[in-house]
Amino acid sequence: MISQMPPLVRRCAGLTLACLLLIHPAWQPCVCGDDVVSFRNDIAPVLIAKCQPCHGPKKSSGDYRVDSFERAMVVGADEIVDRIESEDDDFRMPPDGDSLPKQQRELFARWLDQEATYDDLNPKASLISIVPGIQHPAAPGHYLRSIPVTALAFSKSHTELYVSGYRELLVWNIPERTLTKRIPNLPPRIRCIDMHPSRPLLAVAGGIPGRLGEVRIIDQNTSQVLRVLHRSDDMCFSARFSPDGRKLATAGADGTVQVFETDSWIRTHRFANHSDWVQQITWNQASTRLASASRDHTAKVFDLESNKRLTSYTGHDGNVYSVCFAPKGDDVFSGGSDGKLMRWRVEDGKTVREFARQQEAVYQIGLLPQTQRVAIASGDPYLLSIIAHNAGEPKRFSPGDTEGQAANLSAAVSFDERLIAAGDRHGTVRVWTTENHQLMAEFAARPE
Amino acid sequence: MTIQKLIAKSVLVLLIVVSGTPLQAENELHEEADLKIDTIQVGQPVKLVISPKTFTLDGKHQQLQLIVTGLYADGSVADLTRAASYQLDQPEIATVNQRGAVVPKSNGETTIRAKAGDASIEMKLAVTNAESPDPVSFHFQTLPILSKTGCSMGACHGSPHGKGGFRLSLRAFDPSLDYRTIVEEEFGRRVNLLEPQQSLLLAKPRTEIAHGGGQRLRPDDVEYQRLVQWIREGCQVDPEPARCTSIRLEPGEGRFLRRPHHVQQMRVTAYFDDGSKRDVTHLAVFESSDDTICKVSRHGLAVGQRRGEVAVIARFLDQIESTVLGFIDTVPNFDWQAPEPKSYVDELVYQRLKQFQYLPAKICSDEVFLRRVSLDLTGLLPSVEQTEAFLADPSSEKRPQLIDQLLASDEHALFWSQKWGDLLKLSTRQMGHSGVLKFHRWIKQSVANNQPYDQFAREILLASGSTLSNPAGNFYRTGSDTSDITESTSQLFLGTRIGCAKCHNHPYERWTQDNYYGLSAFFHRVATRQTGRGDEAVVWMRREGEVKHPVSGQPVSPWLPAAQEHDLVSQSTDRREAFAQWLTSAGNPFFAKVEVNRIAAYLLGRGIVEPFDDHRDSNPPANGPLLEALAKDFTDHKFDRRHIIRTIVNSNTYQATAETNRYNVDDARFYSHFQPRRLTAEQLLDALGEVTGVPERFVSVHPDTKATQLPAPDLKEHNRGQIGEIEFLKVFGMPERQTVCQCERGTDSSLGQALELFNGGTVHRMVSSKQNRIHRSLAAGEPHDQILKELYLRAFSRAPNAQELQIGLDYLSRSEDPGSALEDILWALINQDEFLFQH
Repeated sequence: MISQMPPLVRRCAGLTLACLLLIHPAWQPCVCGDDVVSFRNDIAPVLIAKCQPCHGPKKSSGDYRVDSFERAMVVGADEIVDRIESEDDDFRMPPDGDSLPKQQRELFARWLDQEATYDDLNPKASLISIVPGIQHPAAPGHYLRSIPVTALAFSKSHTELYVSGYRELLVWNIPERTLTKRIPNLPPRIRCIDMHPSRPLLAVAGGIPGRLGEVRIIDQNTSQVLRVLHRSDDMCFSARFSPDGRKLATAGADGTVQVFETDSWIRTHRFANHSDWVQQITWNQASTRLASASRDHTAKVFDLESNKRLTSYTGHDGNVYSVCFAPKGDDVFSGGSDGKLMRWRVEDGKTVREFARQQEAVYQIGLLPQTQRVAIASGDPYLLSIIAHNAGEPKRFSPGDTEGQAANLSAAVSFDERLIAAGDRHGTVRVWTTENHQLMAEFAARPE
Repeated sequence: MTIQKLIAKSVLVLLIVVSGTPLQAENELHEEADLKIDTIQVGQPVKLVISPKTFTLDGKHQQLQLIVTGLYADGSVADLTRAASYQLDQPEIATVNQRGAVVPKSNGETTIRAKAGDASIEMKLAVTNAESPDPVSFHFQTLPILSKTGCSMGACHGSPHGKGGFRLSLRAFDPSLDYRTIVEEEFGRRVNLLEPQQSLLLAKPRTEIAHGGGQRLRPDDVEYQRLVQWIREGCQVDPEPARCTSIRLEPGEGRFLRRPHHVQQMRVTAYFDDGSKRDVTHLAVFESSDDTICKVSRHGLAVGQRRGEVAVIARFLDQIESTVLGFIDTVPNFDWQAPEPKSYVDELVYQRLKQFQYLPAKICSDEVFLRRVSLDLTGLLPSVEQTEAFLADPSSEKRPQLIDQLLASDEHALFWSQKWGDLLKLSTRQMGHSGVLKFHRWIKQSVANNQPYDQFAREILLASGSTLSNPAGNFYRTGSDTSDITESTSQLFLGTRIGCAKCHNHPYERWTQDNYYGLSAFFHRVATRQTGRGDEAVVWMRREGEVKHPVSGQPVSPWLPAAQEHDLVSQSTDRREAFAQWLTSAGNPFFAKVEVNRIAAYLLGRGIVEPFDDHRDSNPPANGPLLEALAKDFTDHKFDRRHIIRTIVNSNTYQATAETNRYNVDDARFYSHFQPRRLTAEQLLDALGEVTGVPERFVSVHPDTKATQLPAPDLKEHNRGQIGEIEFLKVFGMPERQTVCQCERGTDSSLGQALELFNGGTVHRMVSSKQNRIHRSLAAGEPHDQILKELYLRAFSRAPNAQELQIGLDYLSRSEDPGSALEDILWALINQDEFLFQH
């Protein structure tokens, strides 16, 4: 059927399918007539899926890596093709009877015939950053099981809630508790959803554990993917628009914090100060500073103007999952696997005081600026809010049915601050009023 | 042989001889394709035996491993599980695969008939619940699979900090922690509930994503499919899991396979506290105590590699069982002959040698025997007078007589006290100068009086009050806390290195963390306090205090292996009494064995269990019946240590030559010949003193004290300026006594030792001293041949042969200065194997 399409369409179809290899390595791409073989589209995806597990940055057998064109070509394209084609079990790659399907081998052979050309600008660029953005497969129509709710965001109208789905965002109407919209073409795991303060844009961070991390920018009106940013080989965990709407910050398992202009999507900053996953980032009100939470047991503050790290906070005994600036921006709240909510100073990284100590890990911290309160979601069976300057007047947001309640992995506050929502490990979403902490809605966020 | 050649040879030997504890490698999963397996030769079995005779497979994912054994006319057995053909009355009920494993298909009952040669045998199989859903059990399938594939082993994710950010409990001993880690940690990153195959937990071990541990699972492995199913079912955790109370490993003890038969299928059955049992062969982890003798495949097929005996160990969750398999090769032209056995020791040793077709060595000469037994019983070389008298004695009973004489000597008591000094960590650092001297005197008294071993142990373990009036109490000063004392006691008297179980269930044996703390509960209330009066301390019992379990935080009650409830309760407030009572009772499975094995190791150079303080199922004795018999003899003789020493030393086994023949040259386990071993540091220093006539003096003790009689290695404050000698002893492996492990004593050889012997200060001073024996003899005008003869008698307990004498005399006649020529010869002699080794 593909061969009956006009060449251009065929080309695109081949492209998309080749990229799908990342997710379905067993799939065999078509051979698209006499078309030129593209390194980016045809070769790199195979190298990533079949070679990089052993010849990559994490494991480089025989001191050989294929994670960039330049590195892969150290041995010469001849040897790559020889190895792939070899009949000798000790010489052939991939080893152990796991050789490439015939059509893939032919693609490599044709690529060699056309002198192993490179069709991107920078031969040093990592393969994962040059392969075209993945068209993610469609989400399942209904989910056989509930999945953990790992990200949440309120719509500007406060009546809708954007909830992490599997390869999609699920938009739920809160009063009706109905699924009103599904936004497709997203990775299977979504860890952060952020709404642009003024334009109809969504940033979604996520990926495929151990394989892919990315941030997708989505046009809220058309549900189209506009950009794919911060691509890496493991999850992206956070993407946040600055309060002034001019910048987007992203962070992920590659340990970097990156900043992009929202007009051009040009990257302006890249901070690689963390030695492990960066789990979350957050902006100060002035849009000049970023705070980050990391699995390296620290939280840090970065200044965009000076392009420098200002502070590193080491008061947590374990992973730091969440950070949030205090109302005036001079202090930061952070929480992590030690169950502590700490308030500390940006100036010198000194602890102001311990604000709360939960039994279980603190996963999410949110500020309610109008009431000057800070709310936290944790492994404990309730949400908690306290006064942001003295940890007073603790308020609990408890589930209606405590029986099946699980850890709250995500939480969000509406723009008017009247509602607070949490999503738990078992796939249940709950919404409370902030004023009298009354449970407004409680439903399983699972398309049935 | 020229002097230079002699020296060159001894250096070589020094550098080559290396011994040590075998490294415990963690199990590798052996694929059967990688093992060399000969075709099974069925022949004509007279009878077949099938196991089990009846079985019920309950649930569609259960399996049953059959074992079919052929019995032959000549009395031999063979595993025919994979060679037999199987027929089912009702073929729709189940199938039998090529490994002899039964897989259920539908509910019902059937007979399975196994055929091999002309023989056949039947078993009855019932299948139930084959059509019902059979969800994967997290506890009994998921975790055992992660253990079997090696994920949770100590070198990988089971290490205390995990690997690559993923941490599992060692061998799945903490299921709830593992559940959180696998299913919940990092926002559920590791499992994909909607597309199970995409789970990180599976993509990593099938190496679709870079995995440091390499490929551990393939999509067509049953284990893999079971994990996929578990995730598909929503990663359920068993609501109230039945507890696995025991496992059984078949075939039981004592199966010997003779080539060409060299494979044996194993089966593991797990028993649960709800009364059910399951075949878990496909989920169990198999290991062999010696991979060079036998390897076990992931499917439980033991494959013999060469002759010998191994323990096959099976592990399912925290349950461990082992069984012994022997592999016999037929040695061409082997013709059994052995000296007349002297006692049960020889009978049992010969039984084993005959079984494995090794030939016992001849009995050693009087010269060799005298030197060997003197060194073993007193640590010292025999004097020239002793040697001459013994060699001249025509009595046929002179060996037993000599043994009795040596056992009664003061030197024997002192030398064997030093061995206990090592084990009980006598050092001034722990108990002060006078503490050491008192404790040492107490031990020496016990050895000299041949105190029954149970009393010895009781007096140490139950010691209370002032260490000045009751020196055995110093034992409790050698540990910094309850754990130390528990571990020392366990290693000394139970022969068990229990330390691993402090933090997690022991990876190589059945000791669990609960056991560790149950044992330490006996010692938790023991307290010591310095009184400030000299080196005195007081040992006393606190009235309360419980040891807390590190995981549950709950107090732990005293526990003992294989003990009855009433064994655990002491008559007084002193809990140690119950422990000591249990330990020294005649039926205790450890106490007697550990001590007789230790004695055997001291005398024969290698324990029946080796290392001799590491008794465990996965480290089987080289000769189980011998160990049992010695232990029984020991118990029957009211724990008379001297009786055991005498029995062993009087045996042919002890008196065998060190020379090997072509039928025993590759044996180092079964005592077919004597294993030469280097003199210990102290023996060597004393021997040098004896041969040169310039004995080493230790200032802090009586001037005649020998190195083999020193109470402690660190009497330094009284011993300043003597560092050189201590250095010599250190170089040759004298332990600092920081642990109760015998392994602290160095028995290996090093370049430092060779240098010490060539031109070290001690040797140089002794050899060149004008006061030494050769210079004294020269000054007294003794003839050269007489001096040479005495030298040989002292160093080797034998006279020189004609050629040796001639070489020596020629060398002397060519030199201008006979004094310095004799020094050369003396120096050459002490650098010979014959001097440095006990043989």
